[in-house]
Amino acid sequence: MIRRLLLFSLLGACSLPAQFGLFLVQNGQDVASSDQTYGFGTKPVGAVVNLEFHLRNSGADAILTDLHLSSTDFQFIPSAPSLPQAVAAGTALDLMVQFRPGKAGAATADLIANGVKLGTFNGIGLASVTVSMGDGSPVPSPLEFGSVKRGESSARTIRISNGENSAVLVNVGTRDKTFQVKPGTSPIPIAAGETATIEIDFVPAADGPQQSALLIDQLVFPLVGTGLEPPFPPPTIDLDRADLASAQQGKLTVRLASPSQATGTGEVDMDIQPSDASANLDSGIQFLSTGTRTATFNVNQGDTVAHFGSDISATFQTGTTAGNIVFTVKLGYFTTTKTLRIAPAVVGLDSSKAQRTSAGLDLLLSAFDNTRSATSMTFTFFDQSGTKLPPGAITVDASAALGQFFTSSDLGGAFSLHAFFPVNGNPGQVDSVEVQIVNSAGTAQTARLPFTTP
Amino acid sequence: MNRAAVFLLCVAPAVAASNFSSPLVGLTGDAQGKLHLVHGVAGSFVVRGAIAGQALDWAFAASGGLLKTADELRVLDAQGNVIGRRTASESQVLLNPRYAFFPETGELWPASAHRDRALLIQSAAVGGRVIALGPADQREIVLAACRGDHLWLLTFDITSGALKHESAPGGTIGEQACQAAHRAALLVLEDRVLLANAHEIVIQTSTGQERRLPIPRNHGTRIHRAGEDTVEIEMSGAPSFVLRFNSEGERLYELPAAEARP
Repeated sequence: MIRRLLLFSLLGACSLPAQFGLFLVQNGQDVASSDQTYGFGTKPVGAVVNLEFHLRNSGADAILTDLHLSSTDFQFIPSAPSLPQAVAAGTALDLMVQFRPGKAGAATADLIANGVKLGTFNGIGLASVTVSMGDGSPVPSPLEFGSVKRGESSARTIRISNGENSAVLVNVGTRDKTFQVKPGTSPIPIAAGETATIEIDFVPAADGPQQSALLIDQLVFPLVGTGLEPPFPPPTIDLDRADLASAQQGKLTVRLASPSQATGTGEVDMDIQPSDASANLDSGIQFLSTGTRTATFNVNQGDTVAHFGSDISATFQTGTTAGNIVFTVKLGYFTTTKTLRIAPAVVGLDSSKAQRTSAGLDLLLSAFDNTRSATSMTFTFFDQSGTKLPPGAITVDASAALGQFFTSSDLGGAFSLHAFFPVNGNPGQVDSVEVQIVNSAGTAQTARLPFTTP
Repeated sequence: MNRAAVFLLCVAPAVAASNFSSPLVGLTGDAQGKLHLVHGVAGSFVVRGAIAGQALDWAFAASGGLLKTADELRVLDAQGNVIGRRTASESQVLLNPRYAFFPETGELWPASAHRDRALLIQSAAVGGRVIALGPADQREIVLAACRGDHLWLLTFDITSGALKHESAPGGTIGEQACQAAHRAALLVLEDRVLLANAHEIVIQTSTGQERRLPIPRNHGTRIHRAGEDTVEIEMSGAPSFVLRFNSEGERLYELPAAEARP
């Protein structure tokens, strides 16, 4: 016995530790790690994972006198090899190593043989925690947050219970900022037997379905929610003037009751409810930027007023029809109207041209009658001294002719009168003319229009 | 007594139905160079569809107008219909509603006549560079010319081509009209002269008084005689405006978008 121990001692003294190499056995083959590190993966505390290794002697016959692991998270099973042990040249010693994390977090151990580190084992221990909803019910998969308006949030409460006999640190997070963990610090310490409560807030930044995941250590809980565009604030319609009449241009502004949380477009329409139901079309009633009765506008987040292109107002024309111009703004769920009353008015004169020709007098008048009710026209001619030329005021009934014209016109109450007065004498004796036009609102009279000779 | 009888006989046909029509304000050009009729009254304009395309320049009044394309001069009647054409490939043509002036040759061509009957304006009489045509009647026409840096209004006899009268407007218009940036923005009317710049219209009356109308700031303003009492203010990158004028003054209106019209 003493001689055999001496022989082992002799062999041990002569052997070289570098002869031993550590190999992972995979599918019956020895696999060497290039950095001599071997991972055991992630396991809940108390769970086990076993890996088989060969401690191969690639040198001469040797005696293994020392073999141990530097951490108790890793163990030889079923037990450590008996030592000392002779390992003949070219043979290997079978080793089964078990990782059993005793606590949450990373674990590592070095394998030492005859005083030399041959490899390093890594593993991660998961806290033995239980995750449930705030009311203790299981966390559904996916965890649904419902539909949430942009700018608002929806919260779910999660409980994390530590079933261990010691405190644990639990890593908590989500995959993106749409779902936010409160409190935001991680890892969360949980004392033995205690429970921590966290809140998951769904804060959508965009429309539509959104997905993410709650990560508690290595546990993954799918999260889903739907973002909704928030409603626009109620719009109101402002006109730059309240006393607008026919043939005028005004500005319309769409104001918002509060800074908009939403971004999008709206439109404003204008329509005429004529005082005379049989009134003809009035194409003059329109927005200038579009040349139509509809204009679109944009609202951006934070706006308190709508934008028509680069302007904050839309210029419109009132046309030449008495009645109510109704502006209708449509923005999101809201429809708002404003009525602009256009009062019946006497005939408005726009322009005139009175010329003498060799044959007589030529009179061209542009005017508008927003009531379409003009009846009589009176022409009074004057000489150079301002004296009325006989027979004085000459009145004619224009109602039928003008009414006939209006039925075929799309210009509302606008009309042009071209009147020619043949003269047998010298037209140069006629200096000017005044024109009176009577409609249901009263009598309009032009200034004295001088005749010119081209 | 005889005169009175004449008037009485003529009143009835003066207001017949056919004598009522849609009032024509004038013309306007769009961003593509197309010309459109503008109907309605001041403050209630209606821009119609395009009547002609690619107008390089144009002028229009109650009696009609002239339109310059790349290779033609077209004569328009009072309703904007093309009633005459003449080959004119010259790039430099100055227009008023009744005449076209070719600065390179000094020819003044009446819209109603064959070009062979053009009147020659002697360059010596001009003594400078013609930059705009002013009003014309059956006897005379006004040419706006730069002599050095000063603006002169020269009145020529339509029949003989002789220089009858000349005057130099003072004020801002006299100082600025001959600056390069303003050459396309001078308009000489019967009783006032208009000069457009990047932010205002300067108006000088026949008595020499000047007043200003602000316009949206832009990078290039051109003004056209667009109707009998209408001037179009054409601005790059901005809506067109019209200036209506009469003996009492001027008023500026924005025009509806022409681009929206077919």
